[in-house]
Amino acid sequence: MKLGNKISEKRLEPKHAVPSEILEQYPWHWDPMKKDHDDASCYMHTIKDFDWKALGDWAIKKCNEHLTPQKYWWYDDEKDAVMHANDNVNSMPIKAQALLALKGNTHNRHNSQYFKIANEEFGDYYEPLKNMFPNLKEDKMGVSLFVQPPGHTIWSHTDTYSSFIRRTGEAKADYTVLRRYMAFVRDWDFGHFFHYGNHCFNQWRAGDLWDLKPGIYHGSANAGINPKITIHWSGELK
Amino acid sequence: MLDNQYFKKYLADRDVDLGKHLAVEKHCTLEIDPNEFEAFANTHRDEATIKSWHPRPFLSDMGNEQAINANWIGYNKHNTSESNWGLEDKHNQMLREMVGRHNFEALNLDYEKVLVRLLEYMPGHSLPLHSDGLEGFKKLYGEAQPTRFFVAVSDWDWGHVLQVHDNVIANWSPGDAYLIPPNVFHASANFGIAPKYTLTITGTIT
Repeated sequence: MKLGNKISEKRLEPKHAVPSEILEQYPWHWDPMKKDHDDASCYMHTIKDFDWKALGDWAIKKCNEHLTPQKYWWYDDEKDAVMHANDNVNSMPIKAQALLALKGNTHNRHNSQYFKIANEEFGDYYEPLKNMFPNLKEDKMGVSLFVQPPGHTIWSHTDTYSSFIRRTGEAKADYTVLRRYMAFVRDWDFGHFFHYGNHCFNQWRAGDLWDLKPGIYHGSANAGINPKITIHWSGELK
Repeated sequence: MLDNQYFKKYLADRDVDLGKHLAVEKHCTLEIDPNEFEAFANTHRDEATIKSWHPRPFLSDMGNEQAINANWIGYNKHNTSESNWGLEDKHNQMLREMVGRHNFEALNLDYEKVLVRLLEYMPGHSLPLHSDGLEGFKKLYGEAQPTRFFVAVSDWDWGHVLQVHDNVIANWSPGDAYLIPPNVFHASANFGIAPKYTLTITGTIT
């Protein structure tokens, strides 16, 4: 299979694709070879008083109802558009980072798929999940769960809260007050990868909660045989 | 959704249990020049073997069963493509010389009986969970029990990872070498934005 584009002879520098206000507000080392970092300090605690197994099993059943991953990334050459499933995200702050991964690169709609369950779709789970983060404004928060099938990745990026912006209708994100938390829904399994900055996770437990501080480059992959499930809370701090 | 019953049974039949820890330590760091290997890939790009995960007539039954199981759960040419060099004898000889005799001594491998392969994984592509059949080496030398090393070529970059049983290996420096124990399941992925270059060096211990 021939590549559609030449491989960049120079190393792509992802920092340059991150919105300047994020770089200014949340300085980070941006050096993959840095050893004396504290990127793992974003671990908060393990949420034990919640039935993660039940949530994971429920999520898989819900995905099985339609069998179609709702989300995937692709670059529309004809329209010069960065696409997240059917959404043109050219006007979103994620665009420049997406171009690095998608245009002239090899992330595409075939290797970036995931199922997404969000907010009211959680049904009876919605309220208890929302209530886990009383520090987020109730009318300015979202909960989403990703089921990543084997063979798929979420390319490395810093969060720009594009989905949150679309949901709340904000013209521009105020990164000084936005926050994202992530928990693993199932224990770590073969081929499940997640890097948060220079920290590569291993053997996580269901309920392990991470404060995904803005401005830190991260991504994930599933090269195993079981789905990888994560849940995320995004919102404005009170 | 995900009919992974066959792959799960395959692992269970082989008593593969993540609950049992397997210690995998760095073996040594070879003295290599990453630029030389990346230049080799670009110079010999048209001669690369390009493969993705699917059954092939020259693989062992074990290799093909793993490929079928992987295909069944969604692995295909769109997420497992790999360019590699070394299966052709001239490439093996060139790569062996680039690695250098002193590095094979560090690995305790017989310089005259090695298979060196340079692997290029582009972003978005993974090597699914598998154990090595070592068919290429066995075909060359007829040896039943070779030893396989993973060697990092480039500086580590975000999204470049290897998992060997319950160990996630990352943050490597060029030349870092890890022994992949026989029949141990492992996987790797590139979910960053830069190509991932690694070597597999297979040989017999001296």
